[in-house]
Amino acid sequence: MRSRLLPSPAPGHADAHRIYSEHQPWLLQRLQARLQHRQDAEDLTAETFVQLLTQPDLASIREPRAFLTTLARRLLFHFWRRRDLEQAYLDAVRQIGDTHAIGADEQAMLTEALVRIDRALDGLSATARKAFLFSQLDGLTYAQIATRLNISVMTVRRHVARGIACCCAVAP
Amino acid sequence: MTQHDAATRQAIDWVVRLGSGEATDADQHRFDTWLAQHPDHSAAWARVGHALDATLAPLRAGGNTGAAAQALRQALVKAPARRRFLRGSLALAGLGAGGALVLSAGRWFDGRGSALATDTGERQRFALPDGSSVLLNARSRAVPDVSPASRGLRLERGAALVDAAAGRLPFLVRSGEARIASDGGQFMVSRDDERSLVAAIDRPLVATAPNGHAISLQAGSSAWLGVNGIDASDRDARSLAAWQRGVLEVGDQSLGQVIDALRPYRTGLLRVASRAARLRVMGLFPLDDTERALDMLAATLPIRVERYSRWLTLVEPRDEDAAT
Repeated sequence: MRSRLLPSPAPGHADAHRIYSEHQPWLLQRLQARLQHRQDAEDLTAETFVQLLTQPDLASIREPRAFLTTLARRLLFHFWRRRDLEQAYLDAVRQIGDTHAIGADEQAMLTEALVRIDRALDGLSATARKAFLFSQLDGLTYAQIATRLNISVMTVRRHVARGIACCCAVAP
Repeated sequence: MTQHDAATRQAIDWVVRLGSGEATDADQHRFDTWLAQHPDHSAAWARVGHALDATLAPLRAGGNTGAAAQALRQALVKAPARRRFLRGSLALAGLGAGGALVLSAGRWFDGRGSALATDTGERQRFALPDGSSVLLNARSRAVPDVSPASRGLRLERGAALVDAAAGRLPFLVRSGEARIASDGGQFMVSRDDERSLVAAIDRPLVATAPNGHAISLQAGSSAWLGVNGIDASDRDARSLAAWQRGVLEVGDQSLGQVIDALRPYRTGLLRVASRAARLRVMGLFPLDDTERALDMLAATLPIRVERYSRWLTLVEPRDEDAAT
């Protein structure tokens, strides 16, 4: 849903603080063992705490470490997903043979854009993404797309509709 | 998936139908009727169009970013299959396997260890333990190296204005393979991929190029240090360091160089067409307001500035010039 109520500051925050201060060093160490850079581990640890604040009913958590691990794991997954997108983009650049020099910042911007679009189209298969982009970027007719991807026109229509609905779901 | 309201669902249906390539005049007529039927309809239609534009803008980039847009598109299409692999390895080996993945995935962002760094549009002064200080220009990075046996820093990117305290040891800045040694005083070093620019502001200093050639720079003068040695620069040292006050001082430089200097102050891609990049520019431009700086450039040069979104700004030669 579009708007979600954030929990009121008390008393959940006190529990979050307690959990965080008791287990922060442990979590940081755990993440650090898995990430090349300390800063990344610190960022993810802090982000985990932010996530913790949005959880209802913190007082009832019996296994804080298991709970923190679950939160951190999800964040770590997004983190890797982002890295993986960067890598896919770099692979594509290499394949296209783009000789245009792109600075690190521009690459970061492009990654940001890529993460955003990828998140918007979450759940769409490679074929669905292709169909959607053929339609929206290249203006191909559904019949043309169907021939290219070897799927039915009805399927193309469904993919396009789903892609558009996804974009509408994330746009502000 | 998110459930959209009725008007949005209808608008999506219309985008799908009108984009099929088989829409008839009758469809178009029915669409016009639907659109005029209720304000909610036209609002939903605008919202859907905007959502599509906003999401797909980076993939639509034209001009010399065409290759980048193409690469983004390829990466996007390949992402689901790669992700299956990622999920698989996560499930198999738990958190541990991911570490190896991260290591092999390569990094775009340099490690952030104990480096001093600034972000887009940000200038920041850092104090060093020996009493010296360094002001970093936007999007810059430096790693300090202060110990009983040495003092100085390594400039990794961007530009640094150093106020070196007088001391027993020279303050040493390494910028790539170039070295700058000062006995105290203010100086500026900036670097790009190929070479470094050094400006002695109030005291002389000694600069050594990567090939070992060294020069003693007088206060007020500047020089380029590259693999092929030292190139004189006719720029005044103080004007090169004007960014410390948020001003870009330009005395007969190419537009390409000016855009390079604006880039660290602007979010998003800022591309200049090669023909426009060769134009000569003079003047003072505000770094902290790149919109205004671009407007000022467009007002005095035969260029037009196209802002597609905050993601993309293109600087092109103006049409009448393109025709000749």
